[in-house]
Amino acid sequence: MAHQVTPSSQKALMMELKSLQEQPVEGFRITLVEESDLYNWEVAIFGPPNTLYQGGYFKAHVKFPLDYPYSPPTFRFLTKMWHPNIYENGDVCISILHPPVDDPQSGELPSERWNPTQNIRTILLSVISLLNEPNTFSPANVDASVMFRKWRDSKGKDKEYAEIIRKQVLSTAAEAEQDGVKVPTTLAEYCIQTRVPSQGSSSDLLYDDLYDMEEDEDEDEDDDSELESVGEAGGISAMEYDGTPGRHYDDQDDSGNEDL
Amino acid sequence: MKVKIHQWNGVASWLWVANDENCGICRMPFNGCCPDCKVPGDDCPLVWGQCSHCFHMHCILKWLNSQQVQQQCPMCRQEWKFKE
Repeated sequence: MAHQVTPSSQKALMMELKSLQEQPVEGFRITLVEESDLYNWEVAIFGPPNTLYQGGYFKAHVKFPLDYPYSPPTFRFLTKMWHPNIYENGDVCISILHPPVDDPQSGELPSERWNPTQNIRTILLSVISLLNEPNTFSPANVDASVMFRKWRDSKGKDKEYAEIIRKQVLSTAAEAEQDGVKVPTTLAEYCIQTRVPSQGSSSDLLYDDLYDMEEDEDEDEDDDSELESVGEAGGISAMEYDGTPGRHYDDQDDSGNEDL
Repeated sequence: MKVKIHQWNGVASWLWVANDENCGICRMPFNGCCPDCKVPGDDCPLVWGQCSHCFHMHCILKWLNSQQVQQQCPMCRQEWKFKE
């Protein structure tokens, strides 16, 4: 199990990419920056309807580390964003993209940080909800944060923040057109994209190894009348043979305790 | 009719009994092995935490070993303790 040419991250990324192409997250399009490089994704985000971002087309690059999913990817907007939690250079500052190191300065609980069960789907959902609900407790862009709070606290009377965002949103139209994308502007259009027929059987490949043995042995069993008596005793000898003792029987009790 | 059995071959299949289909860390099926292994079975076992979450042993160990702070279950973020 030690050193292999293909890092395990490649498998994980391949599966995630495939599942996103089969069942897209609403409001996003995903492509690879370069066909041959699984570690650099280009994401296009559609601004959610009924928010300041409605109609916007925002592009970002997601870079995955070689040890993904043990370490988080980075998420950088290519489109200029004016947002309390997005740096000048487009880097998004969000707790689930930070490894759970002990850093009392950050104000982030380790429990809100990255862990390997997070994935691009949870990141995308976090980023899109961050757009409309900035976190002003640890701003990456202090000026934007101050402006946002003025806008929020004045209930929209102080328009500076909203105007900047709307201006940025309008300026993304050219890029959307260039990419041949029609950005959804109503909730109905925005949501309809998730209704893609799912093609089952996508993971069958992975089981091939498991079933190989069964197929090999099938031909020996043509006398049906003897199957029953053969079953039990035969089972044990085969288990010993393939080096797989009945550990799963011991574990059967565990499967019931799913209470969280 | 009398049948005399001269020889027979036994066949068995096995499956891990886990509360989920895929390992939450590597996202590979539990009935396969972790991405670092080639053969499923006892060489790439599953382990359970006291929180009842289950992972490939290799996957959860790799994660726990990379954590300097508290060792938590990646699923529920409770402190990770192996279930006996």
